Amino acid sequence: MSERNSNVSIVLSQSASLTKARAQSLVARGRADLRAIEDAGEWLKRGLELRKHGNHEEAFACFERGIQLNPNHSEIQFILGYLFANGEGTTRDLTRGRMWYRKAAEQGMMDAQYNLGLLYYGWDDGPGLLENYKQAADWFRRAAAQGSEKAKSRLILLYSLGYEVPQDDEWEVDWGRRAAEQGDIAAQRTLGDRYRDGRGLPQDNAEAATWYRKAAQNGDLAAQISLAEMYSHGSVPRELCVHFSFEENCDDAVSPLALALDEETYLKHGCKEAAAYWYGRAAQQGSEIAASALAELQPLLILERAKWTIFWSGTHINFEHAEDRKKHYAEIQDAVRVLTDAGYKVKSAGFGYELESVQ
Amino acid sequence: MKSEVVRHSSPEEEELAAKREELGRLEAQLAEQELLLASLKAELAAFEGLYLRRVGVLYAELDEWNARLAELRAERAATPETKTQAAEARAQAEESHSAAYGEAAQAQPFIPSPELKKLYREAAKRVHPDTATDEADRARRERLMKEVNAAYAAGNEDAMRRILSELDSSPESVQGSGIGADLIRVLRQLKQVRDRLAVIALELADLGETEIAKLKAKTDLAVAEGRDLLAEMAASIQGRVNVARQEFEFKHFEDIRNE
Repeated sequence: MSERNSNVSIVLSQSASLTKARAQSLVARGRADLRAIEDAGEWLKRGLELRKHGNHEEAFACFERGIQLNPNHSEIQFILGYLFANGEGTTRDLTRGRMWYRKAAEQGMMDAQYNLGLLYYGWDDGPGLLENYKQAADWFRRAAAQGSEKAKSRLILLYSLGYEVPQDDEWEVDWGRRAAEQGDIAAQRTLGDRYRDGRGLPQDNAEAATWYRKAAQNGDLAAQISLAEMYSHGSVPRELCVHFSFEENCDDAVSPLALALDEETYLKHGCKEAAAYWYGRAAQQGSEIAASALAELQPLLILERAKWTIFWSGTHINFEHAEDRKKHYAEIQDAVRVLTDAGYKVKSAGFGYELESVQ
Repeated sequence: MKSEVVRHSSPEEEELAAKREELGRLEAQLAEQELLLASLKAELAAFEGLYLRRVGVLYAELDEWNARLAELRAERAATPETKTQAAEARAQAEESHSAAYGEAAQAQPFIPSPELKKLYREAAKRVHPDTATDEADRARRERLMKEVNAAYAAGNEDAMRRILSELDSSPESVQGSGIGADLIRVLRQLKQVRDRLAVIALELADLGETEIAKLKAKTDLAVAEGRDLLAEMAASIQGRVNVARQEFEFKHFEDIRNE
């Protein structure tokens, strides 16, 4: 090998070893980052464990350590957003809560997008309520685009509040119906409202009652009261009222007085029993409106139950045990007294009684 | 009593035969170890290529955005400090780029065929520079061994066969005369083979300690858990790239707005 050639080969091997060293330093960097990522995962695990046992301050410290090691960890970002928003393990700080949620949301995390929307929804800090509603709508829209049904019904609520550019009714109803069918409670109630008032849809009491009842069974206070009002006014179709009453495994399977009434009377009086049931559920949740409506309903309810007892009064002989027969007979006597006091005329018929005139 | 002519071996001859046998055994072992070393090197090079293509390029991109950001800052407030930072960031970006897109990144997956391994063992046994008898022979063998290793790393069976045929056509190295000389030569070769085995053991241990080997071990372990470590790393760095890019764009448009 000539001297010149060997010089060239030395230069070449030097540059090759330089490239090699650079590649090695990239590998070393990757390993260091990987260690940090894994350590962050460990801190997350430890934090979640502590949180489960109620050690909120310590858990918070773990999540902070984790995010220092891996600032892009969307799960930790999401948790920090939650902790700041709720003041869990740290001082409540809406701004920081939004900041962390935003970091996770911008990485495409659907739950973070939805929660970030919630952190704007209804707050009038910063540039004000209207601007915050717009922010909320933006984030709900991003979550909705990823398939979040919760975000979709929130969007519909925002639209119905009139804070957003109004959307085409048909599209909105369709979206709302899909959310409602997926079990979103707010969407179920909203759909009930729309059917009751004929907003964007043909007015339909049967549909309204059906959707209200779904939301009401899921514990929605507003739907419970709306449904109770419908029952109380007789706007739930009679067949549907009877159907709901006989539906199996339903806690609102109340005595279907509607059966005892003719259509005209039902339309006039509604089903107080069912109304009382739903006012009762709402009152249990602390609704004062429901509690006072329930109190107002009581005298009517007693009358209704008495009518119901009279309607079935001929059947007491069917009871097998003497005890039951006696009990049923006592109930009938009470009912006769209540109705007579209220000015009804009750007459003997067959084995029981019947009302001479049904008011 | 029958009388036979029996040729008794001299003690020197017996010693030579025994040492030759030992040499043969050690040479086979050496070929095996050379194969192990060459395979490990090729595997690591292939993995490094994969790493650079999947992860390294993202580091290069990250460093590029960071360099642009630093340069933007230096433009806005030209202090010695910001200028140094910009220069350093730019140098880092260039370094990462040359590593991520350099020769090392071209390494392709290494899966040697049984035939290739067989050819390697054979070639290694016959070429081995440590079994050379003189300096000229040693230089020739060193060159051939390099070619053998390169052909193996490239998975090139034909090149390997060519080297073997070149060996066939080359004259046998002249043997020394007399048992004594033979014995000395065999003993020297034995020592060389043992030395080489020790060197390979050290090299294998050193390779196992390199960053790339440790990363590969970890990645292989993760595969057993159904995880793709390189993908996880890439996702994490991609997140940082996005943040850096957004920051740069934000600052950049801020400048445009202010103009």
